[in-house]
Amino acid sequence: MNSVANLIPYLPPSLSALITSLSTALKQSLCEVRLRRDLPLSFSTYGETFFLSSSGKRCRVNEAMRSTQYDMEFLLGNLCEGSVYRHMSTMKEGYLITKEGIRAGICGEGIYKEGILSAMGDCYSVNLRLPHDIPGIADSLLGFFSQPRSVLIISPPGVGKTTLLRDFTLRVSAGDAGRPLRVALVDERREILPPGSPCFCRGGLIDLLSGYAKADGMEIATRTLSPELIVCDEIGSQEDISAILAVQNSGVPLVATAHGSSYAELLRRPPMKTLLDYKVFSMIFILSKENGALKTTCQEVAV
Amino acid sequence: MKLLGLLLVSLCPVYIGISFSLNAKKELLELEGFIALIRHIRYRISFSLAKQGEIFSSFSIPALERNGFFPLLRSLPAGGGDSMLTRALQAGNSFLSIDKETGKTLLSFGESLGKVSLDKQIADCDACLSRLEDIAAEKRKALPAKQKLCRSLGILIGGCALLILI
Repeated sequence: MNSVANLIPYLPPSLSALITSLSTALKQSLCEVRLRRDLPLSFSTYGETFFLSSSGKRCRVNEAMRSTQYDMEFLLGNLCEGSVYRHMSTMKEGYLITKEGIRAGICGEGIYKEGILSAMGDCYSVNLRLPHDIPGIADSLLGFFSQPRSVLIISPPGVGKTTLLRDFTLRVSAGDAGRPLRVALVDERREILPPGSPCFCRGGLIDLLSGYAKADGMEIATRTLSPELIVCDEIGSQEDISAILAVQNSGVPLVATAHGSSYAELLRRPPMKTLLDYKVFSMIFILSKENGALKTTCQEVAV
Repeated sequence: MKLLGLLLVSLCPVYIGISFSLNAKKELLELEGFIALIRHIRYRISFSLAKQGEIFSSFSIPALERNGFFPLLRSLPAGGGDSMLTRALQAGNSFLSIDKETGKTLLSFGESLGKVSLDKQIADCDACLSRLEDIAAEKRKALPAKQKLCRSLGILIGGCALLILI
């Protein structure tokens, strides 16, 4: 996935020129670009956050290039393909996804109608998260998959759950854990494997439910696709939990991710505690970052 | 040669009068074309949340095809700062026959096209349509008299020129 090359066409001219001038190594390690109206632009790699002046040199925050209102409107216009009205439902939820899988977290002026958030007005911040395909990142998880099983992958935000899930899905469907498994991937936000993504060439038996709500996708998958494994990202709401419990009756293992840093923390959240009490998952796979490097810890759950 | 010169001098004003008359008609046709375009935009956005590029690629009207406006519009990329319609109106300023008031209404509509919520977009379409239809109604009412005046003036001036020269 050439994330930065996919990002550049969406950016306002001043920012696209700045990013184009970055070194190849820096472009490859870039994870996030954040624009905040009238505030400094920030760039993040796996290990650090830094700022650039308008000449492209690293600098302190008060010397950094700033985003203007025009920049925000230009970027939003491109992310919405010139049609904001078409993307209002996801904008209300605070995000947009491009066809290349770049997720833009957005926030601004909330517009309420009869007490319900109905639209977003002016945009004040955009967080562009670049997807990365890192073949091999799921090696340690695949080691536990000689037989399909239900695993919950947890980590704080920004550690690499989605990147790991992407590599895992591609490889387990292609037989890297033994034999190829039929995987139903419920990709609600189109982040894990955007349709047409180049990394599909590494995949095998994947049935992609792109843009489906998790509950709908899991139900359709179990009823019509006879999957050997269901994969989805970011579970946590009551609807997700209810859908998962319903799917468990079908006996199809589930690999999912959730925000969290430890098993104990999950137990403090009622929806997640319900899942753990029902012993839905046989293993909790915990990701963390130490000195910029990914660290994995496994916790087997007694069934 | 003298006769040819006399004919040219007398026919020029007639030609100019007829051109003005046809231009008045062209102005109205282009305005009606824009009204149809805004109606189409409203329809496509309301019923299928169509993207800008899709909206313009699925519509055609002879008056705006002939003068090159639609080919220009369709060639523009969506997204970025200004809407496709705004950019096309700015670039097509030299060959469109619409008057200032129509141009101002369309540019104002183009500023919000693709940048606001669905409800606001539909309201903007309705406001633009209402204003354009008012302008069109005035022009339709005035057109026959204007065309007659242009042709008559042309013939009159041509005839006077001929008489003076003879």
